[in-house]
Amino acid sequence: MGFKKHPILYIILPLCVLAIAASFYRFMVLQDYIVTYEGACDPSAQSCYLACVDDSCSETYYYALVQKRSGDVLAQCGPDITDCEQASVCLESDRDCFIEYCDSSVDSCVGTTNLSPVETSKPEEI
Amino acid sequence: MICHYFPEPLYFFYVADLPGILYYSHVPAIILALLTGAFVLWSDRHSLLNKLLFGLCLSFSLWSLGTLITWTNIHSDILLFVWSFLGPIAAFISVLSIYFTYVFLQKKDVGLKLKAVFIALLAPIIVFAATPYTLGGFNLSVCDAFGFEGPANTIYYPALGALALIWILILLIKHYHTASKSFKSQIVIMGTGIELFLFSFFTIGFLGTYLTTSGFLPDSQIETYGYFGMIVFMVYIGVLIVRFKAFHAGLIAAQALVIALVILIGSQFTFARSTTNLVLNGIAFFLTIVIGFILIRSVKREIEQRQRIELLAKDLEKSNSQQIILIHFITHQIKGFVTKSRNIFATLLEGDYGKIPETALPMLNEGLSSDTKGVATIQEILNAANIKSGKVTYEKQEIDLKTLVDEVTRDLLPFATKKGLALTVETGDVPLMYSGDRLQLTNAFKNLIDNSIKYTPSGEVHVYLSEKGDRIHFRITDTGVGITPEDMEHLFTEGGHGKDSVKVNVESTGFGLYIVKNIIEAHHGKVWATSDGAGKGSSFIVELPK
Repeated sequence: MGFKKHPILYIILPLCVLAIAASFYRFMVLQDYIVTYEGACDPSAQSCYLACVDDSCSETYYYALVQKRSGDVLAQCGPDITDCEQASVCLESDRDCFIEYCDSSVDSCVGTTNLSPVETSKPEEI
Repeated sequence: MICHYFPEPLYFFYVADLPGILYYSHVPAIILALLTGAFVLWSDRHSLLNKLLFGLCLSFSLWSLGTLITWTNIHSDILLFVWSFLGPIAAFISVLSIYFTYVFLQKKDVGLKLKAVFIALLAPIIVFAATPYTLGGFNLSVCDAFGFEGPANTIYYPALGALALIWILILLIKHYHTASKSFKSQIVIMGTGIELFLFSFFTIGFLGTYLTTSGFLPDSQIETYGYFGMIVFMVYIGVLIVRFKAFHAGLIAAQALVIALVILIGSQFTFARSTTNLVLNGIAFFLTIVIGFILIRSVKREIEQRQRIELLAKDLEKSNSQQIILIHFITHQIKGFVTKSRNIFATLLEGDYGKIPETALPMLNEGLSSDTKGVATIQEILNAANIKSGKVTYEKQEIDLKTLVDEVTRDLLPFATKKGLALTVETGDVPLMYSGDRLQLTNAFKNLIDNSIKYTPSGEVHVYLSEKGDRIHFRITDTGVGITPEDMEHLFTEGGHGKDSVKVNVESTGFGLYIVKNIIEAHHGKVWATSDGAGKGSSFIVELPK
């Protein structure tokens, strides 16, 4: 099984092993990726998106789109962000935090519209 | 992170709320691909083609498994880890398809340069698998990463799929034109199978991703239909195995196909919802098993018969060539002895060893004549054996057929006169030039004229030679024993004696006319005989194109 006869095996296989290891380390160990989710939104203070809980839309909820580093959210809330207030705000410790509120010029929104919808909110302490 | 809107799957894959088509498209395709690939590899582990097909099937199975995980799992880290390799696996499928096609068509491995090209195509997508060029993030609300795919996933591997489709098509067309008739069918079958597979896999997959990312579709369920392309491809591979014994696969190809079909129909139970659907599916499942069993049995019988016939044909070919070798050896040896004996008689008759008593002369002459005939007979058998084994070569030169026929007739005139036959010849007044092998054509014409003399007890033999348009006609007509319809059938075959011919000509070998036919046909001509029946004479006609 010489290199000249099987160059694909000798080059690609090691590359694959390295890529698998690198990918595992990035996603499973470092959690080095962005996550976006629907964070809590107060229509009395902010411009919120409106969503239905089910297809019949018997129940609704308000949300803003939050984007953070997965590692930061994991440290703040654990694997499940349900009922985690810190997930819905940008903290000082967050590396890349971005909250997108509803833009009434583009979507139909609920709540206060005087806040700029597309700028990143200032990080605030809870 | 967990996608909190979605339920945790059971047994790692199963989620009750997901559409049944998801499992129906993934699971049978995975099983069928792995079964076929493993079966083909097991048939011949050393064949590169079989290894490549297995690699293709394995890559597809890994891809399907990966997408099944991305559909059902709710942990973002696991999903991203698996998702990051869907692009490289798809790239593998493209490159392996091209490699497989090359080896299938050329029946040998590709060169180092092409392997370098394959590596260059695969390397970038593998190197960037763990980087944001492939995947940058994850959407917990919808539990997917479509909005975060980098150019490696959105552009590179779909482009590689398109490249594979076009590259393979060009290869197929190029090789189709120069392929043998039987291989052309294989090219069509394999080519259609692999192109359909790649088209459905990449096009539908690409569309699914694009339409979901753009928001036209709520999810990428449409791409599940692309997996049926693999099932189609495996069916085509199965046809190649059963019909053409491709991949050196043996008898159990038919069994593998039926098992795959049973799995496919059985998988419908995961998709069927209504009672009617379940009942109909059950009937189809049962019928498939029964009919499949009957089909396997008859295919098995047919394949066993075919194998037996092939073995017999090989044995026959072997014994034929052994026979030819034996004939050569024996006739050479005997020819040597008979030639020596003839030379001894000739030497004695010439008086090299003193005056021979008058009383001994008839015996010596008889001995010389007998040995001369013996040498000629052995030579005829040798010629027939050489023709049969394809050892005769023809050297073309410009010859005057009129002179050739005149000379042959002149040489045979004493034999005709001895029998009291009238031998006449009409070859015209002008030379008749022709490009042919002088020695072999002399042999052929001599055989025909000699034949007519031998089989004409009384009367006459006429020899005609003429030119008609772009053809040369040579005809011998005699008033001899004639040819019955039964004898006409195997007149020009090896050992093609007439039923009563030995009574007329005891020295007949049965190879003379066989040799004549081969010589004339080697000159792109035709030879045939006509006769009104036994005792009514016959004509032998030779037609040569100018």
